[in-house]
Amino acid sequence: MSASFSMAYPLGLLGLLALPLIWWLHRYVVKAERREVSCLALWVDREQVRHEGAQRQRVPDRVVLALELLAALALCALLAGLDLPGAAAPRPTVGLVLDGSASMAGGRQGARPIERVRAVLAQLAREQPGLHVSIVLAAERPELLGERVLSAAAADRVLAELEPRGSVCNLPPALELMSALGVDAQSTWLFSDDPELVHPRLIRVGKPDANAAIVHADWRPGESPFVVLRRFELDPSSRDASLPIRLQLEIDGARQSTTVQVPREGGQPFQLPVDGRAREVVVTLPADALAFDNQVSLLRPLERRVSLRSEQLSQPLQAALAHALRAIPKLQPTASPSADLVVRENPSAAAREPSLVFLTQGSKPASFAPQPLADPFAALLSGFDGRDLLWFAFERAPVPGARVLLQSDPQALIWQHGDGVFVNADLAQSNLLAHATFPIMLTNLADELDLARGGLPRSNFRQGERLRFEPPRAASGEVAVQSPSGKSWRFERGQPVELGLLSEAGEYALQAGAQKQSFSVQLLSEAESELRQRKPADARLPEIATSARAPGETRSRLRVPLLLLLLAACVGAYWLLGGGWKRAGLNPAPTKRADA
Amino acid sequence: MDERAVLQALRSYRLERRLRRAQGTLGAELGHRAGSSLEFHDYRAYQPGDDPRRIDWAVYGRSEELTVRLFREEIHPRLDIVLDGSRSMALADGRKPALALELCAFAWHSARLQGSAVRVHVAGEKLLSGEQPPSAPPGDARSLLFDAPGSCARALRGGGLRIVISDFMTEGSVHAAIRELSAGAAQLVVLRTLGPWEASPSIAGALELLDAETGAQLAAQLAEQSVARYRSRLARLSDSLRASCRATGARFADVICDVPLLDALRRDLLPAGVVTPS
Repeated sequence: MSASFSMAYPLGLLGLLALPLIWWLHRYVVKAERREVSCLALWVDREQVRHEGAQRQRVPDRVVLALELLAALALCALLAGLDLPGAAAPRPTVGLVLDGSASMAGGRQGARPIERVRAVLAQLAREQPGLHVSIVLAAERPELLGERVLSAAAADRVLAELEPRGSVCNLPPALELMSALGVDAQSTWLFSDDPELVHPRLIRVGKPDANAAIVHADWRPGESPFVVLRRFELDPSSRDASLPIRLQLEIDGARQSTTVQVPREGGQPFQLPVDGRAREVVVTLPADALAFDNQVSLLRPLERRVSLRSEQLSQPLQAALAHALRAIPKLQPTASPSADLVVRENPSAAAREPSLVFLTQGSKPASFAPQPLADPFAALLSGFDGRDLLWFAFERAPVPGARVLLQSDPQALIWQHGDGVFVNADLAQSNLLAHATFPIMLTNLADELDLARGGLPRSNFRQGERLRFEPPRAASGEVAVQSPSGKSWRFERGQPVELGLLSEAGEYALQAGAQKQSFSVQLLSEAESELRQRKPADARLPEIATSARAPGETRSRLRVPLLLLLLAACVGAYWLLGGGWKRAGLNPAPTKRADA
Repeated sequence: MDERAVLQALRSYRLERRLRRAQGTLGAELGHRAGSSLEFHDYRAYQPGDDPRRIDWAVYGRSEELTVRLFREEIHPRLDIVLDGSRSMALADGRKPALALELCAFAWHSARLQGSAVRVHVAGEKLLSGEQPPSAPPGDARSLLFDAPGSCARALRGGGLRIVISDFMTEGSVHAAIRELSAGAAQLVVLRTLGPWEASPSIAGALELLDAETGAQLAAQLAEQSVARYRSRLARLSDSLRASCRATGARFADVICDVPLLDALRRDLLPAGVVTPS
């Protein structure tokens, strides 16, 4: 029986409602009044029967009713998703749940945890000829490897090609998936090298080994790339040894290689000496127990700038803005009329482009605005902290339809209308320009404007980050993303690019129309790298019991009875619809001959 | 079964036991063979071993031949009541099941009051013989009375009165049953019990008829013609039954089970000479 079989399925549920209906029809509609007689022969005209043929008895109504109910039940089962071919499929006898973290593929040749899993599988195959296996990889999201049921040889091939690249082992969903596949809990075994993982069905397949890992790496705009290294050694004295790392730089299509000695002290950011023209930096550690944390590939950060033009600003505001722009790399001052953002003070006319407008004059003297309260859903004031903020505002009402972002009841202080953000403040009395609110507002505004333009926000990500962005505004066609392993996503024009959690490490390719970009995802899991230096692995392999139930034996038995049931139901329906008395020829009334 | 109705009927009627060749244990009624009563039966020549007190000396004086006087025997006539144990006798049609049991009980009590040795045989799938009348109809699927009348008759005692209570609603041979049961009996009384509906069915439209014994079904339209045909078939069956009874010297009575026992005795059994007023 398939796992999707459920009588609560809507069609199956509707079919079940037919059962009482059939009973009711038989009880009150189909069934005529019944009368017992002492001898039916007195009601039968033997001579007439002789002429019309042999006497046949009608199938009793209760039998017909039973057949109809059974037929309806069988129909319900089919509507509820009963899948006989699926039910007859062989059931796995052993379920293997593998730790999906990258360390399972680590270690030296011949001593990798994944190879130990293969050895266990080979031993099982020897002991249990005809073994069937289901393999589930317990990564961040559980993944079924290969078909639902694999032979031992096919499972070994799957394991030979397997290279876990996850950063965590999420066990409960994987066990649920295995259970949903129909594998008994006592036939399910876990394979992991995580020394802290405890489970009664766990077979520990890891071995302790020294490991050096890149646990953090980034390359930010306007800065040099940096890495953070950790050394997990079995022997603490060996940590003092120097660790050479190799840098590969791609400059104008050419690759350069150099070696750098890492300082002894680990855990600190180490800035890499990189040429300013380099497009990509590949940092490689010497080979050790875990290969995946030995290398990162950092791409030159994307230069996403928001141009800003100021118009008719007073001296204090101009000075404060210049001071803030030096601290916010994303904002780039410009005199171009096509700036992304315009900062104005007391303009005479409304602007069409996105603008930040300071309203610093009023008809009446400004009054103190105590305890400004920010709209909690306004992204522009994300991170706003009103402590130590002295705000004097003029009595001014926002434009109708404007959204008030900051107010000191009843005075509106900041509001948004269209593409413009309006700040109502008397800068002479307020300390707004010297308060953190000013640069925070500028930064958030720059981020919003930058986000609205769409496109890839950064070029370097960590595994497990969630990536979602609007398509580039200039893109004319669909957006296609391809992962390092070849997996690809396509997004229609105008649809947001939603890649979800980045689970695969490596360099991704993004194409939006004619525009091509790349971004890199790093496998940087300190906890995962640290697995190498903890407790030793269990040496003995426990005895593994396979499921006592033979593949498909129990449920495939349903096939013949159900087919017979359907056949019997057809015969019953034939008798019922055909009307037994018409064929019997015993009743004087229904035929003209009898009544004549 | 209504015990009070049986007792009331016993006060009014008794079973007629004037038998042609009755046999039985030594009792108070005259048998048809020679015995030791005071009723003269016959003369015959003296044979060695005869009781000299039985020699008619007057005849010897006239003819000088030793002649012995024979007297009629005095017996208690035997009574065997055979009750049809098939399911049709338990059919809920009027008072059919109850009246059959009451008739059986009446005959049993009446015969016992007259000193007869009574045995009751219920002929279902097996022949169950006992000294007491049954309290409930067995309702078997078939009856030995019609399936194997010979074996049924062999279980009965010879020379006694036999009362058969049945509806004779069978596809088997009624004549064979009457012939077998009458053979060896001093007198056979046939009581046919019919339910009021089966004696006179009404026009009921669509009906599903179910044979109580075989389970066979028949979807029928009880129109006027079909009811008339049923009645004619029933009449033919009754004629055949009466003819068989006449041929074997059996008494026959139709009992329509729509009245209490007393009324049934007065209406149906008294005219047929099966009971007499007590």
